[in-house]
Amino acid sequence: MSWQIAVDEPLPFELLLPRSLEEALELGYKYAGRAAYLAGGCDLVEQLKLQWSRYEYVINLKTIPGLRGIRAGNGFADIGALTTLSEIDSHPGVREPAAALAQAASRVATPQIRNMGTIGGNLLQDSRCFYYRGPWHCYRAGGVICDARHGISSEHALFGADRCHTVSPSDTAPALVALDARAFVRDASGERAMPVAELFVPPAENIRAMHRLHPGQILTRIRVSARKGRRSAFIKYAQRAAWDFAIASVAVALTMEGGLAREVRIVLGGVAPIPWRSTAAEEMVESQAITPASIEAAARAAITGALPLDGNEYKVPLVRKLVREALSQVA
Amino acid sequence: MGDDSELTRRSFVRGGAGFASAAGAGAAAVSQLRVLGGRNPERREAFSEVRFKLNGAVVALRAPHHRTLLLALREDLGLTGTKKSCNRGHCGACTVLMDGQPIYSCITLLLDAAGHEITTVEGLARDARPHPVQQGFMDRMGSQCGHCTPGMVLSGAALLARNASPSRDEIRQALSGNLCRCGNYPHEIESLLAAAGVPIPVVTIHETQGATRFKTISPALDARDKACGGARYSGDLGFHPDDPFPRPLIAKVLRCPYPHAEAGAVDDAQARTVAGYRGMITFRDVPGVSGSDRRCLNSKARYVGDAVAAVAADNQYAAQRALELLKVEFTPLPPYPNAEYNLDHGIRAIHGEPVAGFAGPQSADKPTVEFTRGDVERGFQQADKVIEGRYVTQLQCHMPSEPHCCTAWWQDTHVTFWDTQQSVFAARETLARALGIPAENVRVVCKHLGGGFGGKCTDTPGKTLYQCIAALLSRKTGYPVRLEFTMKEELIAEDSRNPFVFYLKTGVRKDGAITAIDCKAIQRTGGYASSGPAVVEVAGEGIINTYRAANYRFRGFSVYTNSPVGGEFRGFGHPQAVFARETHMDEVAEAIGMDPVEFRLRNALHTGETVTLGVAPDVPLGNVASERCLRAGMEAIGWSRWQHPSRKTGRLRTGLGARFSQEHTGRNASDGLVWRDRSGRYHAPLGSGNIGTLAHTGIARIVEEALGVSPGELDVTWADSANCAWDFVTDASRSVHCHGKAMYNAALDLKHQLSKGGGPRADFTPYCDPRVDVNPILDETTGKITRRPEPKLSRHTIELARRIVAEGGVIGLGWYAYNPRVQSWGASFAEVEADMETGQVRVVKLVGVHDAGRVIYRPGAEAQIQGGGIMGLGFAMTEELLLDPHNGFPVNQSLYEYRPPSILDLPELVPVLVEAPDEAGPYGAKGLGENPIFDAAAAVANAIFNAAGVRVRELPFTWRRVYEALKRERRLA
Repeated sequence: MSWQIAVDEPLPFELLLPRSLEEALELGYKYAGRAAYLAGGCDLVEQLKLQWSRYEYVINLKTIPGLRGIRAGNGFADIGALTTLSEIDSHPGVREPAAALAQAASRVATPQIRNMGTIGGNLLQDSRCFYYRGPWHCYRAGGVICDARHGISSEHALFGADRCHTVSPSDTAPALVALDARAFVRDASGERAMPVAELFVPPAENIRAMHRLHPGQILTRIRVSARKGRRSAFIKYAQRAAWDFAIASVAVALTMEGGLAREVRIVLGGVAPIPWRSTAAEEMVESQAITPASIEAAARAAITGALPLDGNEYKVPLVRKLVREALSQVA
Repeated sequence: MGDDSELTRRSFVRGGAGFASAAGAGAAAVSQLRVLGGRNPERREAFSEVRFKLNGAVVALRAPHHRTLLLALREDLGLTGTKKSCNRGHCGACTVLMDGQPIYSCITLLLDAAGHEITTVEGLARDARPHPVQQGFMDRMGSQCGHCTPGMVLSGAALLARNASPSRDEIRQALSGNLCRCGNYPHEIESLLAAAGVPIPVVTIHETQGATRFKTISPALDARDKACGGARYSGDLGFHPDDPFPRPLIAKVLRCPYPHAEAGAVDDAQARTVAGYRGMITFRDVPGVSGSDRRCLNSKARYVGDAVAAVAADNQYAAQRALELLKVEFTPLPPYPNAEYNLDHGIRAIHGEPVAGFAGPQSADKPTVEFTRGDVERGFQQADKVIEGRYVTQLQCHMPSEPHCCTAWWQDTHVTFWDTQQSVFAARETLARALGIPAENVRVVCKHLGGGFGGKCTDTPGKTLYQCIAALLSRKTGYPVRLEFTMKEELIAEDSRNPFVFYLKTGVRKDGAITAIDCKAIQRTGGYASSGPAVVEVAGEGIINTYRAANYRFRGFSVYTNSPVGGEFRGFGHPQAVFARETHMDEVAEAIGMDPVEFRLRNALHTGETVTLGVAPDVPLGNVASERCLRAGMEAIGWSRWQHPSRKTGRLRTGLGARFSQEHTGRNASDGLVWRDRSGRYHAPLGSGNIGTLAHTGIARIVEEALGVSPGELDVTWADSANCAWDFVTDASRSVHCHGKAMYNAALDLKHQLSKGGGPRADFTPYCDPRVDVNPILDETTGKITRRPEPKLSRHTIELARRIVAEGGVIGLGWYAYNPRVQSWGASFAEVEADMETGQVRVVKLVGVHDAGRVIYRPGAEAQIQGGGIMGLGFAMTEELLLDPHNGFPVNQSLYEYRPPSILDLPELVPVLVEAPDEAGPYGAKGLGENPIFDAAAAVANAIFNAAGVRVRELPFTWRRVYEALKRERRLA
């Protein structure tokens, strides 16, 4: 990165305009390490301008037909990876089967960012830790220290940290994990589907990456399958109601069958390096009626195992409150 | 500064480690600097042609691929209505519509506009008639500084296109991606309601007789230019054929990456290979300035971001490239970021002595400022209770919508600065002194300024003087040179609000009488003094005045640290002091079981009682409105609902809090000049800056009223040091009161001259009322006070007057020196809801009651209360430039992480205007620009105590801080 604080325009790069996925994959493979894929550009263009990223080629995915738009089909909604967050927020085909996703999309940053930002970019965004993005040589940046752990840790992880204490910044990620959504990834060998949850990589496994996609792979679409009787909700806490990433967020999904909650998913955002599925909390509600007592049990279970640093213990009661509120909302 | 002493010690016990980590980061940076050229050979720019529809017409441009839509619109197409602010997608000033949808043009590549339809603020009007949203912004004062207005207007127009009658909530959502640092959100919402045809209620004024003449409201002087994109700010110039200079060279500054380091020689051998590179200056090319511990470029860098060298090139890309290729060796030195530590240990490493004094660095045992009256020890003996507390304030950054931007053009012996400048005359003197040339050879112009807040006031040589960098590069290259700050430079490298630690101790009798106040204040001034010592002085005034105390002592220390430099910022020490004192006084009232407002009323000063000010030790107060302000606020918030926190239960608890203060409304002298030309038109060339308070509109109304002419007969111009009446500075809430009074006097003089026949005039003695207009003046460079100065115009005004007379104009001349008895009064009341489980605090309502003396331009006055309240809410709730506790590196280096309030973060804001006129002001008017920023912090702190039973004595009140206070006091639910 550039340490020059007077820099805020990019180095020259060549913008490549592939007409097909195959061409985009080929270009990604050809320029591996020297090229980035451009979707909404909300983060990439800023990174290029700060010269934190110095790619020589930018491969514009927006010129590829078919990557943008929502197709509500028989029992599922397919969301192209380049669909903007405001399209998702306002689409009736999403709101009904996937309320948590629409709510999450509507809580991202600002209207302008939602008009530009895509679901693919929102899912695959990089860590927002200010040490990692600043002039520090932290673990994630290839160093041997977590500066936040010894410095300012108010934004950092309660769960799942391993040397690095960054958090998953995405609002839509917990929602899609809670909805058991599937991600479709294209590479040279073709297209394969995986649970959205498997897109994300914890620092214990790879401390330099937030997701599992490699150069030469492109996230093409997300599929949310409808489930009869499913209810879902997303709630985000941030110090400011616009722009801010979540201090903590939660997505909850469950299906009511005969007064009992089934297939309960409780997924936390902003408190772990990946969208954090709290199975302990889920178990408190699974196959139970949603009552004040089961809600409280889940809220308490959600914070078990939290390992706060000096500055982020305040997130613990926030998580408890989030789980309580989200479950109350779907009850 | 917020570190407790234990943490501080730890970081210094581990000084080696902290230092090593600083060196590590820097070493990496330096090694990267060295290898850049090799690893990143010059890249060829890739060009393409792009076609898109722009404001209804197809345009075709050939541009490099890395060009953003924002730069193309502004620089290639001259559409500078689209503003450049953060340039990173964190503010919304660059908003344009793409196919009708608002987007940020600063993070959109130009090539991505291909085939789309782009609408800018210039494209909204139809048949030269403003768009209804633009008309709404003109009619409802939707603009303060106006820099965020084009983006707001476009977001608003997009909303109305899909929803013709939006609710307030829908409007707030639609505008939530547009930051307004003036905090003009309530008026922006009203502007859209007006555009949608919804009637809007008006604010009540607690007025006194005589107000009627200022009842009619018309749009502000430059409302149309701001709403329609025609207002050209400093950074907009150079892209239109009718601008005063051609496209300028772009300067970039090499800034030190360490908190404390010695820079070696700077080598630009590699930079010279960059096409378009024009030259470099370094600390070796910059002379020292007497009376300042700082130069515009420094070899010893004293904070992260300190300027070392600068380059100029044909465009920003080449300038950046050249900057990266400069070779410089930094020798890091141990950083000393903590003021209390530096004072306790007498750290001399930064400037030879630890304390910044008015006359330069001084020893740790000598306070920068000391005020005493009576004997505090005796006062404490007379007390029934003695209450002590420690209060901490944070580093707040101005973050104006328009970044600092100066274009300097050195032609022969003269330099012109088109600068982002509040105070063109003070800047002219200061810059001339720093450059070693006569002030007559310097001109400073600033027609539109995108927010100042004290951060763009070059009134002392202790400021950054970045303008000199542009001037010296212009002299070297022969071209106009522009230096425009990035958002990171704005956050880190420019002056900010000094953090303080206050140790307060107050003695009180059971009946509520204060027997003594003792305060030790430690201010972190950062790497340089800047305005730090004067800020300590004003903070001291804030601590000891307002309440009656026979005994007081204030000792304030401005302490050098290796951290960002603190200086002038709206309120100038008062916001920090008012937070500390008003939180403390709440604790004093609590200790004797008295209602906090009752306690304030009991101790508030009355008309004729004396206060101590830097300019004079014993000033008898003019028209005091303390009781009126407090009672109006009690009514507006419903203070009768107040209940002691011990009676509150439940997880969510509400609380009420109050704060009160006395506030200065000006300083120093102003000239006034009003004239009539041969055709019979009247002219008011205002010397005060156009910083968004709309003071120019207020002063124009004063002049019109005094002359008895209608608005159509008066031409108003402003802020050009070559063509305006001299004014000392534009800060200290002084424009309408001080410059307004001088212009009022000039108008009376003109009437008198015209009644005499208006012949040519050789005598340039200004008119003033010796009873109220002639007052002590403090010379801030010498510290000398002239108790009764001679009313005399500055040479600038006399020169201008001569020119006008020679052209056959009839002139009226006026003068006024700030009368320190004119203090205004303010109270605020907050209602909060606190979550006892999490520490989340929501401000539900904020009432700001302010004595404006006389309300001259009502929309402007209420907007100052709302906008100051909102900026104060940022100070109270979210804003802080965080420094790493070990080495003082700024950590949250972006605007979104710094967290200024968005339009979605507003409580119900209730402005209340009180009139307590003082004859010294024009029609009785007092200043109002700064006072509302005191509204939030203490009132919210006291409301949090009232709700949750815990004191938060450190700003800002983030969820984390309140949670930790609840935990410490064992009050968590």
